[in-house]
Amino acid sequence: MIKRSQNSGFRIQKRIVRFLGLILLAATAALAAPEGVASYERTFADAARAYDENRLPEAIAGFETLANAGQRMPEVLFNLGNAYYRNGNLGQAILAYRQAQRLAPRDPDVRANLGFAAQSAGIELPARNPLAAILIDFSRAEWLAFGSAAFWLLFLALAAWIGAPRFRFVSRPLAAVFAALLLLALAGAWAHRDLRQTPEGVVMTRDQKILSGPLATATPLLAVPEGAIVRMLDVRGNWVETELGETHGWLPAAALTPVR
Amino acid sequence: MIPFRKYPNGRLETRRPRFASLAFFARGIFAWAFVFAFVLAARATDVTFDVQPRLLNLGETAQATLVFHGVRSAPNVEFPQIPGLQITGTGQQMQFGTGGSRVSLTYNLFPQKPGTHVIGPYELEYNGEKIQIPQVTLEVRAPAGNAGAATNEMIFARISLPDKPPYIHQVFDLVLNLYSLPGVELARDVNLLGGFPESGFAVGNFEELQTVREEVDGQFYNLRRFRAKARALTAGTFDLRPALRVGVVDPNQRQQRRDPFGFFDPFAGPSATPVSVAAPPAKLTVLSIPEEGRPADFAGAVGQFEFAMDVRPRDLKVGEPITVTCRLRGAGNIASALPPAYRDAEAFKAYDARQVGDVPDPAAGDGAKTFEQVVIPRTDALKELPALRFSYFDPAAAQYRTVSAGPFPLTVHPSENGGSALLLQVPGGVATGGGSLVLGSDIVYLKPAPAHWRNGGGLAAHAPLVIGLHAAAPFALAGLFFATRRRNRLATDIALARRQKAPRSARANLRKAEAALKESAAPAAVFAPLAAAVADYFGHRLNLPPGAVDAPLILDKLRAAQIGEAAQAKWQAFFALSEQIRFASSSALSRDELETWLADVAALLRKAERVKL
Repeated sequence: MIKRSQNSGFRIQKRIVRFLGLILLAATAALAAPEGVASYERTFADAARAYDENRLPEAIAGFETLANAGQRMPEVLFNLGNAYYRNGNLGQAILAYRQAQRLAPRDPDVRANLGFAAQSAGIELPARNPLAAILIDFSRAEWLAFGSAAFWLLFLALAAWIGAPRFRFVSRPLAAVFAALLLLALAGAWAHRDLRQTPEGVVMTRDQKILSGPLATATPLLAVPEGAIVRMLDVRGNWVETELGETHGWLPAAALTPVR
Repeated sequence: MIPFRKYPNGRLETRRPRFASLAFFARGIFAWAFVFAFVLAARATDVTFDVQPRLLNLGETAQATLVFHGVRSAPNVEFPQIPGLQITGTGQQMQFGTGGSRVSLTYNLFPQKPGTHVIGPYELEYNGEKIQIPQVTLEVRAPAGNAGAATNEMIFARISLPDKPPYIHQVFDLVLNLYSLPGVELARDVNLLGGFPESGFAVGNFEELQTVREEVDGQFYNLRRFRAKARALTAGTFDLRPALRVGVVDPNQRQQRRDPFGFFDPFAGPSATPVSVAAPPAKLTVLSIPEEGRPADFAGAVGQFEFAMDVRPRDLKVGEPITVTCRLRGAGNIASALPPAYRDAEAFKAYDARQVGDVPDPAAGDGAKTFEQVVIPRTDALKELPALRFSYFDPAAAQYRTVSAGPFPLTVHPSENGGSALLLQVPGGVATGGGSLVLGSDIVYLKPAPAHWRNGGGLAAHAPLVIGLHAAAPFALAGLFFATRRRNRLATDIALARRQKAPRSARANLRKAEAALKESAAPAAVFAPLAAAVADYFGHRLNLPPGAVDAPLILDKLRAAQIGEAAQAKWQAFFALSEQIRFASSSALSRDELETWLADVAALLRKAERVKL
């Protein structure tokens, strides 16, 4: 009995030590996170100040640092686009705006600046069919969240349908509605998947021409300005098969950067 | 058939015959007449008449078609006699389609002598209307005219290009002609094997036109024509080498199918041998659009276009949006033509024009497209939106043309916010307090820092957990389904429910027996719950009413289940001892014996649980 009592006391002591260790770990993590956030905020503020003082290369470097550190957020990409635009890099600016628009499709500022940059570059933004335009008007994250919500609501409605037969007159139509919403969300996610499979690409250099084949000596079909947005259909070596309006042809891979 | 009649003024009139003598009189007097009988609704009716082929050898047959559009019934029509041409009605056919109903009357025309046979012209009186039927001429060649047929090609193809070289982006007709001798039967499907430039040249879908007869080198040919809209994307000379593949029906195999002793397969078509037919190469020169006289606002539209605009509203305040609608319609490269748009000015801010409505097919030769543009007045001094010009190149006239719309007078009132401050209102958006900015003619200023920064990769880092949670949901649903089904089954199936309950009730009574043994070790106190355990178990197990459970019945069931001699003996001993203790109270058992019996009964019940009773 005495031996058992000693063993029990040892276990309690061990649990307390473990609990304290966990608290210490959590506190360390909590202290570390604000440090990272503070760093991001400092970099963002420095880049914005550099932009205001017309030190555009520094502003670009600051926003690029944030983007490369996993902070590819609409605000960062939008400001990066502004810095590139001010610096005269139309292609980079349109790329950054387009990336920001992919994350925040309905942001009026992004839309306005992208349109302004496109107008400056003399390009027309790609037109989409009405259904695709509606689906792309919501970001992938929004569709996933919407789909997840529809999924769980459908789950609950089905559970109610199974578990509460008396309320099937409610749960059955609800299940149908949530299933339809889930399908809609899947369609939206599919549209974004399509954009990932055959992404848009921004022409980053001047005086590019879409050629009829993946050869430098192929027949030029269409001259494309810097900043033009094309659809990247396929890659063959150093060449990318592209689509711009009704023109299908090839561009050098080095001249294009995909919008991801 | 209705007889016919001709009137002195040469006009044909339709009427219903009343007397045979009158009809006989009419038939004898005039040859160029025919009569319709009408039981048709009193409305405008369109009637067309056609004969194909119009060139044929003596001995061949042509077919005439008289079509009444927009009706559901038509009278029989008898054609007047034409010397040297026998006309026989072959029936009528009614069709319903998207364009309405129509009735077709068909006739076989058998020429009996060579020469030119003229059918018509006729004037029909139809329900009070006069409908003109044009004259059709049938050329019939004597058999001697086919002397050179053996030296002619059986099948060949040609390509027809526009007479004038087209301009770049000009839409023109490209026609592939497939000639075959009248005796050669071709399969319906014709495949294009290519032969058009792969780049710089856009060819739409081919449509087959009506088959006609054409004379080539003194020989008549059936001519199948395939037409497509084409457009060159660059100027220069293109080599066109189209080739077709068509099936030629073997006449011998067709005869075999008619063999009355063979097996007829209704689903097998005629056997055809594929033949490739290449058209002679042709060069197409595409002209570039002239530099001379090119308007500054020319944006590449080639064709004939109409341009219209609408501006709404025209009475508004500073900062309120005006929707400018531009509509472009016409024939040409409509898919790539862009209408003009307003650019930013001191007096107004103009946003990008957006195409609305249907997008024309790039291969379409004509169509319409509509653009909308949002314009926002910056000042109440804006009195009108200026005119917009649209320039295009007209290839038919080989010159540039410019059409314009506007100016559009406006009444702009000062903003309620005072001055001429301009609120940014993005098209389609709503200007709220937080989303409004004072705007110059420049890009929107930087955005503030995000409210939350990403930590640890966001959703991607938790993807396995999220996916796992979602994947678990169907399993949970399946678990719920089976649990509910089991619950419902137990609620309705009493025997099953009691069967499920049997081990639990036995265990409960065994626990009571253990407790009684610990307390007093009195045999009666221990055997009472033991007997209850056995009675409850078998009562539930066999779904028996409480009074129906007795030792002989249980022993019979156990014997039938073949539980073994030893177990049966044990059960008999238990029942005997149990009755003795419970009712006679004469047995004195020690604690060890009672513990043994407790263990034995538990073992016997476990064994009984494993057998099928």
